[in-house]
Amino acid sequence: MKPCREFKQRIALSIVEGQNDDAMEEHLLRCTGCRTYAEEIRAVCGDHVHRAAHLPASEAPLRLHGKIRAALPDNPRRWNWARSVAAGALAALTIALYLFWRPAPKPAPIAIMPPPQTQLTEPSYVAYRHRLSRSAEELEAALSREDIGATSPAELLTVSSRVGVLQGPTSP
Amino acid sequence: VSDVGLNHSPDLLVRAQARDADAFCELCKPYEDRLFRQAVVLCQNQTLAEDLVQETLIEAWKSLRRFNGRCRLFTWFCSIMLHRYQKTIRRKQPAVVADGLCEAMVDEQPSPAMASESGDRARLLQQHLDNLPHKQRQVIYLRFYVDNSLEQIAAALNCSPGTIKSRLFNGLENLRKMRGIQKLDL
Repeated sequence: MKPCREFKQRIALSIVEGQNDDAMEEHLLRCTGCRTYAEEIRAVCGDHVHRAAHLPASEAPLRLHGKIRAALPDNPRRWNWARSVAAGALAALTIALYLFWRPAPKPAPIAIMPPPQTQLTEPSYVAYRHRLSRSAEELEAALSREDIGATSPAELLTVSSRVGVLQGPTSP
Repeated sequence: VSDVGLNHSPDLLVRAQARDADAFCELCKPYEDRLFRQAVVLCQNQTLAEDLVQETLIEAWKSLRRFNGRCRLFTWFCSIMLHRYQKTIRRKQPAVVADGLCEAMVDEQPSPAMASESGDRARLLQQHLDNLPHKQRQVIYLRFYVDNSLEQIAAALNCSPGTIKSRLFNGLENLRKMRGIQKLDL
């Protein structure tokens, strides 16, 4: 005879939990299928409760603790004042050594400039104008110095050849 | 089976959760024998049991920050151990019965015949447990072998009590059927 479907879980859990369920007990008195089912569940629970109560008294091997500790990472080292001082001293020493042994700074590159042009190889327009104006002034000064009032081209050429003007600004 | 005497100091747990390996070892030490005993029950072999406990505690170290104190630490260790054991079963690693351990599961100095019979029973019960779906086996194991309340099991497995009751019932139902097939008469 099969147990009642709606009672099966209730029966099993009440046996496992050891709780009294009056309504279920009353049902078990009337229902053979559920009574058989309850006996089977009790037997299953009894098997495992008995086995659990009589587990062998095994002790963990002594090496087990060491193996577990070895498998775990080491604790992170604590940062204390001594370590801070040591680290600071090391950093200072490194900086001092660097400053002492650092290579000499390279001189700035010197720009190679072309030599200044001292003389013009060819007359420029400005130089020509300058020379021309100087020649005109010299000519005028010579004319006033010698008190020559003539302005004929022949006289001007004579005076200019004498004072050395109007010979062309070919050379500065 | 109670947890009396295995209560750890909260400070030790906090230090272990802060990745202090020494504190973790100190925390685990009182549980090692009991874990090893449970592992022997599962594996039925001392060498495999030793490896299982080691794997369990290393796994516990890795995930210790997730332990929220809603269940006992031993229950939490056992739930991890069952998870590791499930992986062992998946790898089809044979649980070799050795060292006469099953035969040692006898009350008081039994005769060889009785010891053999008890060993067979223990082996058969373990076989039934191994045949259960993993989630059902977890609940059955924690209920009968670690002696936890359903609330503790629910907290350890991070499930609702209703789910645990359902798994317990289904597990018992499967064990009942297996027992009926095997005609085990204890």
